[in-house]
Order: sequence, then C-alpha cells, then structure tokens
Amino acid sequence: MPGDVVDNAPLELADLINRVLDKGAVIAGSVTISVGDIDLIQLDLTLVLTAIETVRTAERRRREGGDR
Amino acid sequence: MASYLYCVRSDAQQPEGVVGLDGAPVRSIDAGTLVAWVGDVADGSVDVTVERLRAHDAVCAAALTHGDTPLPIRFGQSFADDAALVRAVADREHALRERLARVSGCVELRVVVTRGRDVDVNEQTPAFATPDAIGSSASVDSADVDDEQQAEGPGTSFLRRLARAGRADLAREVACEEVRHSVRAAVGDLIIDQQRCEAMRGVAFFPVLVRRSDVDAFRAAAKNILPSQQIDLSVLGPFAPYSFSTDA
Repeated sequence: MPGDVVDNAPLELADLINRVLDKGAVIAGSVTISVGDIDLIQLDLTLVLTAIETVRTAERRRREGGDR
Repeated sequence: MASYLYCVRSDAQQPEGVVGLDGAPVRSIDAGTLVAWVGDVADGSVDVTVERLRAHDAVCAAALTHGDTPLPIRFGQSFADDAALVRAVADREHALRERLARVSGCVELRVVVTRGRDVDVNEQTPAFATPDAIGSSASVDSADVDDEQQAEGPGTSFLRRLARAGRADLAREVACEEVRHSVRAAVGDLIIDQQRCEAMRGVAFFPVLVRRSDVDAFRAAAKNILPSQQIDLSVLGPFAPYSFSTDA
C-alpha cells in the first residue's frame, strides 16, 4: 500500500501495534496474547485490558471463590 | 479449525490471492447483508506475534485496495466456525453498517510527532536542577554537566532521567496537539474525522480520516503549513480506518 517511507523501524512497529492490536472494530471472541517476554494471558475482549498481574489475581480469586 | 475475522465490508469484493495469518488463504463469507473476510486458524486462541500483526494488517490493506473501504477488525478475533462468526457479525450488523457508512470512500492517515520542541536547557525543575539538554532531541555535552550532578547518587540520577524522559514525552504531546489544531485550521476541509492525540511508546500521534482522493493534498499541507521548528513529524498511511472503527 503506498504511503510515507518510514525508515524508523521502531516507529513503524509501534504504529502497527497501536493500529492492529489497540484499534479496529470489536465483534466478540477471546484472544490469547503473548507479546515479547510477557507470559500468555487469556482475555475476554469485553474486558478492559489490564496488567498481567491484575488478570492473574482476578483469576486466582475467581478460582478460590468458586464463582464462574 | 476456527474462523478468524479480518475485516467486514459492504460490497462483494473477493480476496483473490490474499494470504493471512500463518499463510492461510483469505476467503469471503456472507454475514447477513455484509461480507466478512476470514481465514482458518488452528484453534480458537491466536497468539500475538509481530508476523501475525503484519499479516492481519496486510489483509486489511489488501481489502482497502479494491472496492469500498472495509471496516478493519481488531487483531485476534476468532470464532468456533464460520457459522458462529456469521452470527456474531449479524448481531452487530446495524452498528457495523453505520461505521462502514462513516468511513466509506476514506482512509486513515496518522500524523506522528517523534520529537517536540526542546525544553530550555537552563530550565529548573522543582526537585532536580538540570542544565542538561532534555530528552532525545539534543545531545548532552559531558563537559557541561554540573559538578554537583556528577556527585549525585544512582537514585537521584535515575529520577533525573525519568524527569528528562517525562519532559520529552510532554514536549511531544504538546507539539502533537499544536500540530493537530494547526492542521485542522489549515486543511479542515480535507478532514472527514480526526481523533485526539495519543502518546505511546515514545511518540505522539493523531489519526485523521480523509477521502482517498485527498491523501496527497493532506500530506503536502501537513508538511508545509505546520510550524516545523524543532518538531519532527511524519504522516503515515494510508491505512484501513482502524481508529474510526471502534465504538464511539
């Protein structure tokens, strides 16, 4: 697709991540995310993305509380 | 196999020869009165990799080249099968049609500010007196480093670096807002829609939605009209309108 010539690879990657991972229409579904050294986490797309530890804490509490 | 969704469109443009995630061919399926470009993935969860992000973006870019502007879907949305995908799309058909109408005939450009104006090198912050140049926009001459700073401990040094980085970020964001308002004032007739400035990963940017025929004019205007002293910017795109496809 023609566009600006961008020599800055980090800029291009940051833009790609912001557009494709943070934007776009949301329909439904689930996604497993592994980016760089971040461990795999499973998210419901209706949830606001949170820090990995927050998600893990929530998962632990749900298992301990027995609610699902 | 699960069904992975790339984009939704209102016309029947076929993804001829288009390849998506992991080399799987892209196909189109009818979803109510809309058409979805989809592909097969091994299972319901899709790990994010740079390669897959690029593949997803490439499919949406291919969809943009022919027919009307598609609505790009956020990365990672897969469904148990085509039937489940069609149901999910059909359930949101009204909202999707509204958004497709909004972006019809348009593309997204992104004005990215990579460097804002330098902060006065003699500017003092309340806790950290720093004669150093700020951020990445200027080099620091080690000969100018104050003797007092050379004696500072690692903690103070760390906080001083944070302060400098924070001020560089602020300079970029301030410059980005200046650029955004200047662009709107100068070429507002070319802008169908725009979003506020965002800061991420060391840059500040704002997306604009322009008609396909106005891309070159916008790019030329953005570079010629804006105050350019000490501000580095780029106009990226055109892209499928990711920033204008989310919920309002």
